[in-house]
Amino acid sequence: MATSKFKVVLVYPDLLGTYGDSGNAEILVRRATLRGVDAELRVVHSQERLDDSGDVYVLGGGEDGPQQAAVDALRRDGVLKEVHQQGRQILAICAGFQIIGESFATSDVDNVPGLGLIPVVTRRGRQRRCVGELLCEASSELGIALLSGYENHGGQTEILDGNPLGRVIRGVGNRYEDTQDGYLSDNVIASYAHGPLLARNPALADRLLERVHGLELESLRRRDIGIEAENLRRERIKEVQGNKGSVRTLMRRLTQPNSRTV
Amino acid sequence: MISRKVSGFTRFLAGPLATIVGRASRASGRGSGEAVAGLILNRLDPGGIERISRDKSIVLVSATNGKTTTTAMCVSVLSKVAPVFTNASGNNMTPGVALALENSNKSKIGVLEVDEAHLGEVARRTGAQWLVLMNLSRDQLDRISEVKSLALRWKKLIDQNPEISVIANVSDPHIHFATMNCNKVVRVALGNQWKLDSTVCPVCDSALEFGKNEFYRCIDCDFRMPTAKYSFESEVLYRDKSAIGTVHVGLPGHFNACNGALAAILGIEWGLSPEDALLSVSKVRTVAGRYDTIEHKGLSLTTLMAKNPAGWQALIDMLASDERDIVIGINARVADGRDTSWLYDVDFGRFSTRRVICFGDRRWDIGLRLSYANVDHEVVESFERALSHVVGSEAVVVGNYTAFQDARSTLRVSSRPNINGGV
Ligand SMILES: [Zn+2]
Repeated sequence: MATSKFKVVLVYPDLLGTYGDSGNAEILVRRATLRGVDAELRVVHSQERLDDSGDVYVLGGGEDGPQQAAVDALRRDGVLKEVHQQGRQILAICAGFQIIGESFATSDVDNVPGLGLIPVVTRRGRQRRCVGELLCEASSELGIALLSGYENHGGQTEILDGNPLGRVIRGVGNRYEDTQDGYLSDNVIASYAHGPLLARNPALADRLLERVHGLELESLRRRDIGIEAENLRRERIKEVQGNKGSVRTLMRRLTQPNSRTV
Repeated sequence: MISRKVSGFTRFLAGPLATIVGRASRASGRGSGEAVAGLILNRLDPGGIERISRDKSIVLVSATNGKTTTTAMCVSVLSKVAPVFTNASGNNMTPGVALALENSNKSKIGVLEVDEAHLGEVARRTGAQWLVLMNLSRDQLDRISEVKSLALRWKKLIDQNPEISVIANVSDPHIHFATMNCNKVVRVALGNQWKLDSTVCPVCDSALEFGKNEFYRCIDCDFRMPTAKYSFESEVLYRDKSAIGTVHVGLPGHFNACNGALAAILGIEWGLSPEDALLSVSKVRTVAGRYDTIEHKGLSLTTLMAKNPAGWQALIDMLASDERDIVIGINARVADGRDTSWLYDVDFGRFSTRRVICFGDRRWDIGLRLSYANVDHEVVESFERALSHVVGSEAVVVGNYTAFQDARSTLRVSSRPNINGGV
């Protein structure tokens, strides 16, 4: 595998990079490099033409204005649609997830056309914004038990056809009406979980690498990265599942300077 | 907030009661007594802010980064004019303001640090005459709105209150946007190091283009960097393009010089001579424990706070030239923001030649982040343990909000500011 090349394209971090999303691209490259793969990170800003030779395209979250600007630029550019048709992998988080769907909503406009790469629509939420830890049972074909992340979105996404990335255990995910998060197909992994997603779920990063190389990867468990990722994951999952609302937590919240109601 | 009618007697009791609770709460070691006292005060005497501020001149300082330091510097400068009252660091929401006013006694000038999301409410209730606005960038996105909607709220406040004067750092496009219709704006060009949150035009969402000398303009509409009355380059302050003095600050980092320049400008606009204003700025040496150097068990520790990507960026620039070990504390409690994703927006790779030791509730988040950035580091369970891993006799301690407070309390030093303004 030492001769194979692997290119990750980080799409428009100037517009779609609100939640540390460049981390997902960085993590993919590092995990490939650690396996001896000659990996490259290509960062493409919104004023440039998108690189059409990537193996994985990473799209992150963004505020309303930048999200609108990003979808306009991607449509003009046309490359993302092309590479998607050719079966190249796309990892899309939050606003990136909404953009590759059929339509989404900003705070001013209801029906902004998306790129139409996947059959999902996003509408404006009428309920409270979905903010907080997100824990999902991953789709069984991934061979991962749990996915951990942090969500922060207003939009409510409905899958018209196809499968979610996971079933929500804690948090909201795509929308209040069901218990699904994200979208999963042969070449799209989409989710509302940032955190970033691949930092908390290294196995998902490896599945993505395996999709590109068609090989099962050597484990990184024994390395620092493996141990730290495992500790982080364990700590996050425990936090979500365990002692919510203990007296100590409550006291800490009440007496903390700056404690504020959201 | 409770807005029902409050009897005169309750109001009469509110101040003393708040003071007692504040002391008790502080003595019990539950952190800042002011936070609790302010809450009580604001509940028992909901009209107190309006009543007490009626015959005071109020200056509000707000930004994502640097508000505590700039507030301390503004206090130092305006103390040349008259006695000044202020609020405690971190106590920068409505209850903290209520408490500062309650304790203001005869001081007629108040310089108050205000949380970005609370600026509108505090400005309206205090009838503030001056705002000092420095920057807006991503911070605590789980609590505070997106950057643009904050800028919009500031703009609305300023548009609806034409009598407010503003010292505005227009190098930040969002600050210019918020003040673009203001007749009483004093525009300042401080330069802008953090551009990730100003990639699109705040007016029309098209791309913003940055050119020479930090100049920016929208590619579609006529939003662009305006001409500034004051500018600041290589530590020299200019008014209408003539040099009026050099900014010397007692605190490290270019960002602190920028904070000092803004505070000096406030003083100059209040009628002080540039010499007097700049001299007062230079006297601020430590602010709420930040930039402080503490001797502890044979170690010389400099304590710094950084809580978001723009703040870290400024700190990394400042630390680039030294070789000390770096102890990093990361928490994600309510006051810090619950979401640690921002750690991936910080260019930690620049610490690749340094030794880093991580502690805090979210030590695995920062540890893993550093691994992916290829930075040599250790992860330990407590701040005390982190100190025992320092090699050599000096280290820099950087924490986000509550991690910084935890570290300071372990060192048994206060992270509360010098309320007198330190002059
Ligand atoms: Zn524009």
